[in-house]
Parts: sequence; structure tokens; C-alpha cells
Amino acid sequence: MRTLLTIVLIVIAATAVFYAAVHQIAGLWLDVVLRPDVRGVIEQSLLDQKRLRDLDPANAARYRRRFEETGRLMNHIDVVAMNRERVLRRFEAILAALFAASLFTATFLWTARQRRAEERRRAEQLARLTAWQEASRRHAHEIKTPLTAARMEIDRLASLSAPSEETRHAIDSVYEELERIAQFTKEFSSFAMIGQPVLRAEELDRLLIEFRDMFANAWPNLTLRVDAPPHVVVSADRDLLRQVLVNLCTNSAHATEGSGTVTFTITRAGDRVLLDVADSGGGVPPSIQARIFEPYVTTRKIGHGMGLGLAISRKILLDHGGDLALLSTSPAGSTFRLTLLYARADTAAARDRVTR
Amino acid sequence: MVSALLALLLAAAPPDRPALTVAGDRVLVALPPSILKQKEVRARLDSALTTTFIVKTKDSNARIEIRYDLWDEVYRVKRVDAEGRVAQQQIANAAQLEAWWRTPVEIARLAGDRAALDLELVVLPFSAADESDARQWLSKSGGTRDPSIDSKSVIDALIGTTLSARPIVSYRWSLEARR
Repeated sequence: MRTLLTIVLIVIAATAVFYAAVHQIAGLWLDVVLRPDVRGVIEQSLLDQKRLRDLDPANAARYRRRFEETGRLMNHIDVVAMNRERVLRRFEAILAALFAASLFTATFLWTARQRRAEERRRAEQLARLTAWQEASRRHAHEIKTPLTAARMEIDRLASLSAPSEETRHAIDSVYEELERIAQFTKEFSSFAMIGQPVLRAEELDRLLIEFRDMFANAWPNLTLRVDAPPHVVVSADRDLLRQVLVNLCTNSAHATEGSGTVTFTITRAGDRVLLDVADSGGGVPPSIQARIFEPYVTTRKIGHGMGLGLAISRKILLDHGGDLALLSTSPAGSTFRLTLLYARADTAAARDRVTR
Repeated sequence: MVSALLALLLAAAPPDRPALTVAGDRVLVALPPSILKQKEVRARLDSALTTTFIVKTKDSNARIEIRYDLWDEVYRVKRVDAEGRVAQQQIANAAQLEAWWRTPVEIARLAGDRAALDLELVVLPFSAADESDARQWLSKSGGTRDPSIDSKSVIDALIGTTLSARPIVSYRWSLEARR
């Protein structure tokens, strides 16, 4: 609706400008014909034909024919001159209407094309992340099976007759390595096991305030702020959305040296609700900005995270019918934009209506 | 000086009332020559366009057309009465035109002994034929000459609804005649 309104306003403004321009120049073509000196020449021509008739009576018929042709031209000019303002007004109105119709159609088609391109891009992203998710699930499964078997073998080895000090040390070392693999697999699984959202109508502003209060102490170096109008209802899975916010805040906490802030801002954009999450961290390095939502892309050291948080977050938002994007980033901070679908909250049925 | 002033005053004064007469069952109207002396009408009569006078009653119309022929320097006049009868002639000068103008034209049929008519006279600066010619001319000017391209129809639509003869002056009278 808002898009349509925007298009209409653009078309009206452009048409008004066009109309003003046409009004300035449209009279030119008509005034060329209606110039008094043009009429003067025609009148003189009529008089000349009559003089020629008197001087050369033998060719009177020929002069008469020319006279009548010229006379008709003068009549046409007189008729048009009497209707000049009406002709011009209609001419301008038709041109403006054609212009407005063309502009409206072009803008509408362009907007529709943009939307289709956006939908296609989202679908591609979702398919790619789903493929990654499936691969992660398989890898996790393949690792877990031998991991469990190895643990059982080590347990059995440890339970045998009292091992030597050297054997004991080796068993502990193997335990430690297996635990690292288990931890690694757990993270892997978390990506593989993102559930499909159960969408409900949720008041986003309230959800953010609850999040701010609940997680006020979760990241000691961060202060959470909410800047949101009341009663902004979105179609969302509360738990999954909270997971996204946790991921973003965790990243912000890592990117912030000393203390910083994370600000949540809500704006409406037609049938969408935009939630901007802005931090005061060090920004996303240019080298990974283009790939930041791909799995395993991270700036952290090996063993300090696998770079799945943003991929998981985006997958969750795409599953919501929305999106997650890096809106801006600089050494002064980054802003991520969550796009969610607006949901009407005026009926109790809203919660039931909003489904996958 | 005095005659010029008098002419100016005559041109500005409203025209006299038409006269209704009854001949048998026909109601005839004689339009006052002062109409021809009205400033707006006078200016049109000497153009090469056909000045058209439409005499309207509730149920019928009559039409008078006057065109000055610049070549022969005569007035070509045409009268179409309420029954559709057409009378055409050419008139040498303004004085004869005034005399011809006084000739009554049939405007209605008398139903009883008395005819009460609301008469309207509309003066148009050009005829339907002039209008049609000008439309075609302007349509050719604005439209394409390539018959395979249909942009001409847009111009035609534009011209067709804008070029029209708007009355330069009109009068209304309530008149009565008895058998």
C-alpha cells in the first residue's frame, strides 16, 4: 500500500513538473501557425491572386483555384485561432495523461521487478543455507557415531586393571580431545538443527523490552537500548527471534573493546517491519563483508567460534519470510537490519492467522 | 464624427425584438437587422467563414448562414427553415443583405389561434462544414502521414472534441402571435 502511495505521489509530482514544462512549450507549434504575420502573408496572397485575375483575365480560373486554396487555409487558421486555448489545454492534458500513465506503468513494473528480484535473491539464499544446514547435519551425524564409539572404548580401557601413570595421562588426553570434538560437533549440530519457526503475532517492542531486561547482564560490556513505538506487531517465532538477537549481541560484545551499546530501533515499511540492531563495536572487516552470512566465516581465532551465528540468524529470518542484512558498518559500529512481516493485532484471530 | 459615434452606439445597443407573423398555419419570424449591426456579429460577417445563425424554439430550429465570398465580393447566404426547406442566393452588398435579412423565415406550425414562442437566437462564428474542414486540416498537421502508424487517432480524438464553434452571442425572446 505504501509502495503504491509512493508511486502515485512520484507520478503526481513528475506529472505536475511535466505539465508545467509542456504548458511553457506547447503553444509554440500552434502559435507558429497563428502568428499575425503568417495571416498577413496569406491575406496578401489572396489580394495578389485577385490582382493577377484583373491583370491576366485569361488565367482567371487558375488564380481563382489558388485563391480558394489559400482562402481555405485562412479559414482553417481562423477556426483554430478561435479554439486556441481549448486545443492547447486538451493537448497538454493528453500529453500529461500519457506521461503519467507511462510513468506509473514504468514505476510499477520496475517496483514489481525489484520485488521479484528480491524474492528470488531471498529464495536463493534460503536454498544455499538449507544446503549448508543439510551438510552440517550429515557431518555432525558422521562425527557423532565414531565419537560415541571412541568414548565407549576409552571408558572400557579406563575401567581395566589399574593403568600406569603414563597410560592414565594418555587416557585423560584422549578424553580431552574427544570433548573438544564433541563441543565442535555440538556447534555444528546447532546449525543443522535450526527448527522451522512457529509464527505468531508478537508485539516486537514488548519482546525487545523483555529481551533487554532479561539479558541486561549477559554481556557485561554492553548496554542494551530499545527505541521502538508501541504495539508494533510482527509475525515471528519468539524463541528463534530471541536466538537471533543473542547471536547479534554476542557478536557485538566481541567486536566492542571496552564498553559499548546496542540499540534496537523499529520502523514500519509498508507490510514490513524493520528492526535495526546497531552496535558501537569496531565494525565488520571489509574482507568478509560480502560473505558475512555464509557459514564458517568469522574473524575469531580457531577454536573460538565457528562463524555460524550470522548464518543461523539469517536462516531463521529467511524462514520467517523476512531477511537479515548488514545495513552499514564502519570502525564506529555496525547496523544489522532484520526484516519481519507486519501482522495485524486487532483481532484475536491474528495469532492463528499468521502461519507458515 | 457624429455618424461614427451613432454607429458605435447602435453597435453597442441590444438588438430589437424579432417580429412574429402568422401565414395560414405557419409561424414566421423576421429577425431585426440590428442583429447584423452588433459589434460581435459585424466582425464575423466580413470574414471568409460562414457565420451561422440558429433560431431555436422548443420544438424546432431554423438556420441562416452568411458567408462573404472574398473572390466575387458577394455574400452567399442560405436559409433552412423549420421544415428543412433550403433557399440559397448571393447578395451583392450589405444593404441588400439587410433587406434579405428582413424576410421572415418559418419557425413553427400554429396549433390554435395563438402562438407563444420562447425564441433563442445563437450566432456561431463558423459553420459545421468549416469546423469539419479545420479538423481534417489540423488532424493532418498533427498526425503522422504513415498510415501504418495509428498515432493519428490520438490527434483526431484531441481535435475532434476541441474544435467547435462556440456562440459569439445569443439572445432570448418570448414572443406571441395571433392568427
